[in-house]
Amino acid sequence: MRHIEIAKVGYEYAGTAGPVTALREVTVDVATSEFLCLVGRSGCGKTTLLNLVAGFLSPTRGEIRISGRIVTGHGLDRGVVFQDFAQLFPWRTAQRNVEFGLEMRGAGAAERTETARRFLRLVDLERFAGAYPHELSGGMQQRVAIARALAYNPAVLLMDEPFAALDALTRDEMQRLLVDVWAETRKTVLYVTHNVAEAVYLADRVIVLSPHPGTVVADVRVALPRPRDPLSLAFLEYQRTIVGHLGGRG
Amino acid sequence: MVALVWQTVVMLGVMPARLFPGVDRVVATFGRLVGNGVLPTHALATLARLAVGFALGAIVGVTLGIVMGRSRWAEDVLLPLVSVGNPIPGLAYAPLFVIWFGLGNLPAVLLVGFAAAFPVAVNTWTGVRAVKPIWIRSAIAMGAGERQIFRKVVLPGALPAVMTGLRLGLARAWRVLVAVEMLTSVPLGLGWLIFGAREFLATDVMLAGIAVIGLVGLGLEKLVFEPLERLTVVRWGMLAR
Amino acid sequence: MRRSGVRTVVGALVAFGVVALGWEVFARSGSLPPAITPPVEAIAAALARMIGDGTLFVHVGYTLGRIAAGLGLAALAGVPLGMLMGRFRPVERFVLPLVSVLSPIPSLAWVPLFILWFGLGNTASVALVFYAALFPLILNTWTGVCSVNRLWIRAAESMGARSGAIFRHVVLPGALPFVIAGLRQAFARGWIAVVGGEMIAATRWGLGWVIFDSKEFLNTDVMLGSLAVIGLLGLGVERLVFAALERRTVERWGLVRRTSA
Repeated sequence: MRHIEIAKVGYEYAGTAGPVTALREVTVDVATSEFLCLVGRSGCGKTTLLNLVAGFLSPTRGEIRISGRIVTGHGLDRGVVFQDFAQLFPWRTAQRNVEFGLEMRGAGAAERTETARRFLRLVDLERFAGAYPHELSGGMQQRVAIARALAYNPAVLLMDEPFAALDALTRDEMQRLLVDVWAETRKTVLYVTHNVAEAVYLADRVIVLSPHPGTVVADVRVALPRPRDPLSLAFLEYQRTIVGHLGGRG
Repeated sequence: MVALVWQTVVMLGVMPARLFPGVDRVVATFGRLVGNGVLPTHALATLARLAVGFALGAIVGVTLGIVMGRSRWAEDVLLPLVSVGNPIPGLAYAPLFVIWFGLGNLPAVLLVGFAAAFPVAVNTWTGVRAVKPIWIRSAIAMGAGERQIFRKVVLPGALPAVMTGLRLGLARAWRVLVAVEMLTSVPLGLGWLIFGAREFLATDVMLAGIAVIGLVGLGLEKLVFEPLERLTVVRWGMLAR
Repeated sequence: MRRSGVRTVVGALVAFGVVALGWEVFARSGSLPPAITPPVEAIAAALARMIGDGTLFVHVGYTLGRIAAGLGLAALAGVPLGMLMGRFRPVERFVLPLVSVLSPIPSLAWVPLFILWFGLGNTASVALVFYAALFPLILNTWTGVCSVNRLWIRAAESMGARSGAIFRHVVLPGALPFVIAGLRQAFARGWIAVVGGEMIAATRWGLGWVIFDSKEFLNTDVMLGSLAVIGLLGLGVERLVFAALERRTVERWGLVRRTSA
């Protein structure tokens, strides 16, 4: 079943030297519970595409539908995780950060506490529920951000290079954790990254974008069983294919 | 240490003892004035004026700052007024306030509030504008409406800067108040005590009064603002200490 | 500044226009005698009169002279003292308690005492500015020296710099943003001190004295005019001298963390 439909979407914005086309004729469908990675060099418009789906921007051409309804703005059917650790509210504990979306929905105190606890447990941070963001490491902060985006139960999870600012070891750990969380919650995930190995490790399907203007150049289905072994030959073969589509080293 | 040097100089008799009382005399006077209730009475009168004036200034300042931070129109119009008014020493208005509002408590309290409002407004404005866009985005993504964003994101996000403003405002209010008490002939108050003591060359009383003024200023900082900050912005890691 | 210059100027004009108009209406409504709330043109006329007979310039000159003298002396004393505190532990241990006890005392609280000690006139005002400006300078310089990045010192050492060279080429420029911030604060405090001091302790000249003296004769137009001059001068020095100083040095080096008010 098609969950997200991106149909012939174009996006232009006013640059200093006339209008700039960031995206042209982008068409992508994402199935329900599918994990889709958008890969491309910096400036290829992948974050723009994510912001369009999130409803922070609106397409200048084409349309985006989620569950058949055209996206006109942000909504509680989508959760967003950014790259910046500063996305958490520093004046709220981990627990209260996770509760924020539920609070906006008007959930009662007991339900909020209980749900937030459950999602903190999911990302393995139950012990740190009372900690403020500055007391947590970068990886832990991003885990809180994931729990926060999931807690109000959106059907779609949008992630913009959430692990790009982490060290390599933590990143590996976080990727494993994300696959587990996804397997348990069965959300539809749209994940932006410039790291090819990360995309192959995480995704059911990888969409490769080329820059100036952003267009889809490849759609690769990663048919590897999970958990995946990044050192296996098949894994490396996928990486080679995608890097080939990117035109050189990703 | 400074006390030791002071005492030596005084004992050497380089300067007239009447103008430069020894430490022992200042301490004795301090004890006497506390004992007979003169210093506490004056200090209380001053503190009451400070509380009323500062509360006024803080309310006006925070409101102005928020309005300026939220509306471009208000910013364009109010900011020039605030930035010209800010560097004028509050005390310079004192004679004017005396003409407008007479002598006594009213001009003193109003002037304190007036002087305190500027730094509060400027810092609140800065704070509201410095709220990180990513916080607002996150809140929007989680379905927060305009008012919820304001209450749950903008206000706490601006708090560190508002605190700074209140702190600067209080410090300024305190300085203005002490001076203005010398000019508006209030019946009781630390500034008045010092100024009045000059008539009788009572330098020991003056120094004792100055000491109390310093102590109260230090106390406001340590007892009011530091705990308040520890509970909020320092706890949140938004302020390096 | 993202805001366009035109918008800022228009906003300022509207703001002052509205205030002037409001004042004018209020002043002419006759709810208070004109001696107490003079209309705008009376204030302008008073200013013009003071400019015409040159007295305004003398007052401004005295005020600026006093603050320059006080600030200069405070810088000569405070900056080296702060440096010594940052470099030598014993100095820090001796001076810091003194500074933390004296600095929260408002400078104006000393006015009556300074009058007794130094008499009415220039000395008392300059001493007052010196007192007000000294502590921000000491504290900021000290903080600046203490917070010079250790990596820079190590890098300089590994390149063979001796302690004298490190002080001149690393510590001094590294601490400069703080010293400038200190000067700024010192000026703001000194400005208050000089105006306040002149009100109480000056004898004939100075902007603070003009305001205080006009009270006796209910010359509210002169008072408001002098107030405007005080505000403009304060803003001018802040914008022209300190902002330029910062642009020329620390901002060019990308060192500046925004300092507030």
